Amino acid sequence: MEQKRIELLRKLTEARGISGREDEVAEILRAELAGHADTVERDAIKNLFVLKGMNKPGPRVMLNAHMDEVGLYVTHITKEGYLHVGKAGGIDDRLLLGKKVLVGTAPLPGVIAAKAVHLCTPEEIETKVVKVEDLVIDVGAKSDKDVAGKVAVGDQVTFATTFGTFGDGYFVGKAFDDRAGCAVVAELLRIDWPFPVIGMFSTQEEIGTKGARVGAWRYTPDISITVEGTIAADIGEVKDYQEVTNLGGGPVLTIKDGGMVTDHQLRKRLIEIAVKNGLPWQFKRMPAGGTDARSIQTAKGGVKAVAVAVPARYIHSPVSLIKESDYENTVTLLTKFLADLAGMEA
Amino acid sequence: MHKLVEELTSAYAVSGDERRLHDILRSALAGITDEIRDTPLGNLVAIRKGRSSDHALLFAAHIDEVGAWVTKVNDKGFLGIHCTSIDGRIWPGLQVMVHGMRPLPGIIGLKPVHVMTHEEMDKPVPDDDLWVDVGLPREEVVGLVPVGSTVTFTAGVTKLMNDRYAAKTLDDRLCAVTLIQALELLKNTALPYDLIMAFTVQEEVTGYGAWTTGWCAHPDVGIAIDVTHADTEGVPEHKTVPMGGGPGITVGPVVNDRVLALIRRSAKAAEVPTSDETCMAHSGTDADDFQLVGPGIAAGVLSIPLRYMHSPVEVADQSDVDRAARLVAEIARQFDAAFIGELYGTEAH
Repeated sequence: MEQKRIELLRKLTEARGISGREDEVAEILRAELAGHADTVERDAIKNLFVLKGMNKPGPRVMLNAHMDEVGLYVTHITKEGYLHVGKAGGIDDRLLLGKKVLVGTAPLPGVIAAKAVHLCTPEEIETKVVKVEDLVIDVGAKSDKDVAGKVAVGDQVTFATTFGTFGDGYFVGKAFDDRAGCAVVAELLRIDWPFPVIGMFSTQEEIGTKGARVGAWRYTPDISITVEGTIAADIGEVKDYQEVTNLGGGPVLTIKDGGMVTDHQLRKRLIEIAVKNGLPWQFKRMPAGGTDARSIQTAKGGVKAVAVAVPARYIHSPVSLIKESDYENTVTLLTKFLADLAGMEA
Repeated sequence: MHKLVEELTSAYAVSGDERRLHDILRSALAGITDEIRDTPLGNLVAIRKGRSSDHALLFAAHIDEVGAWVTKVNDKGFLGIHCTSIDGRIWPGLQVMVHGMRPLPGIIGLKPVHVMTHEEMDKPVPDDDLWVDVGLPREEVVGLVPVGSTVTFTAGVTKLMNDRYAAKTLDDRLCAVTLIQALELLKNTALPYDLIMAFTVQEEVTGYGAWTTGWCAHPDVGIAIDVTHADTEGVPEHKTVPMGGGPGITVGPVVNDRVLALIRRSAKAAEVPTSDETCMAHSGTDADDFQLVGPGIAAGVLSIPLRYMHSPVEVADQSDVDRAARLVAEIARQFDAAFIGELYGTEAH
């Protein structure tokens, strides 16, 4: 993969943005797509729209990915200078102990405190899950005065995870859900299409697909493709029928998830295009989770919507994995699909 | 922060693998010691000669680290691990290093909630469900990672506020840094007797490093310097010492009373604040072995306050390291004929 494309993934995944704090991601995308859009704008819920050829004939196509990531936020600062936190989005509490984080806008490096093993009883270690409300973050402060003006209640806390290559053709990093989708959509928006294109980088997906709800009302498309980073459980001792998706298996097409049934015609066409071009593809093999596509599908009188995803291991955790080939095949499949829609050769 | 903090904590050496650190230590010790010896088990013993070699004072910092061992490569090429000295609740979501034929970064992930029962979610992840993902095909993993390879936390120092920092293995490499800082302070000072800085092995598993070092070096006094629990949110005050309050001094039968007096008056002379902590049969440090090896060595224990011990994010305060180094240097200065008289005088025994 070209260095430039990898660099975009690095920038997007290392950017920090829990739900409601997506500005850093939006600025990266705005800079990345400068010169490729007729209009770039943000709305009241801070969605970023990249509009291209809105006066062109043909179906209005929405390309969508969400900018927010799961993380934590500061709920309280103790007199001793420790930070109490809450969860922004769905994270298993058991992933939090002993991880490195970045706090607030400065940002301040910190660690999620993990009481020394010697100070825990065997019973605690074997039976007790440390819940998020019982955790604190240590930024090295000696009292609340140390952090005054540097950290405020409500500040975001993100995992301090750097992007890199890993193993045999993998990328490691945080927030592939859904910065991988943001990168795919950005790549598609660099191409000039003969039909109107609404690039919608949405906000607040992780807390209820909220950005897409109002964004799809503002610019309602005829066809919508939501690009995601989705669950791959091809790990450890998970049974093969529970893997949901697997890395290296190609772009993931959803039939049904926890929030919707995708459009049969569009999905069928995607499969035909994949087969015609010899591209791998796979179904999401468990009807769980939800994406912005559910909010877009139900905008106004309804929208033909599909969800296509890059499979990712360990999403909603401090560190996740995707496979380079899956990312590339997702970009290729969607490029071919849009070209087909336009009657273009690609 | 001393540059050795980064260098020493970034190296990987689970108990038994300590020779991986010898080059770093040898180059740090060059010019500030007169002689360096390697013992059969891999202890590195550095000697700073005094005016007389009739007596010797030894300080020991252990250089091994906690980690896990690979027990199995499963059908998917994921690694099963075994570990006893680490709270298993820390592993999920962690990036680790696997030390096989070559170092491999790994991830210990967690199953997604969709394939988990509610019952499972309310309990810590059982050891059997911890698998290391190295992102390689099984055939390759089998060749690269023999069973028995070690798995460690990932290197990297995170600077926090107030000259505090977080890293893996501050237990006990920070104490190795302290001993080297003390030698740097003593660079132009003539010492009454030999000063031995021992970098010991296997403290986390057997204590045999200290045992054999004690035998090889046979000093008059052996002081272990290790980490101790610093104040931690949610832990009763009486179980910890204050972070940033200076080194801890252990009081109890493991510690020789004359050595304790030497430590106390040195702290006073060097104007180093200290905190007391107690132990009974075991201090949990190399001193336990010094006390009993051969004819016995008069033992002492100093400690550096540390939060989140045996985790990837152990936190320490550089001011405690600086103060401990000054205290170690002062003890070496005060270890003189008068003290030897006190130690072996009839009144003391």
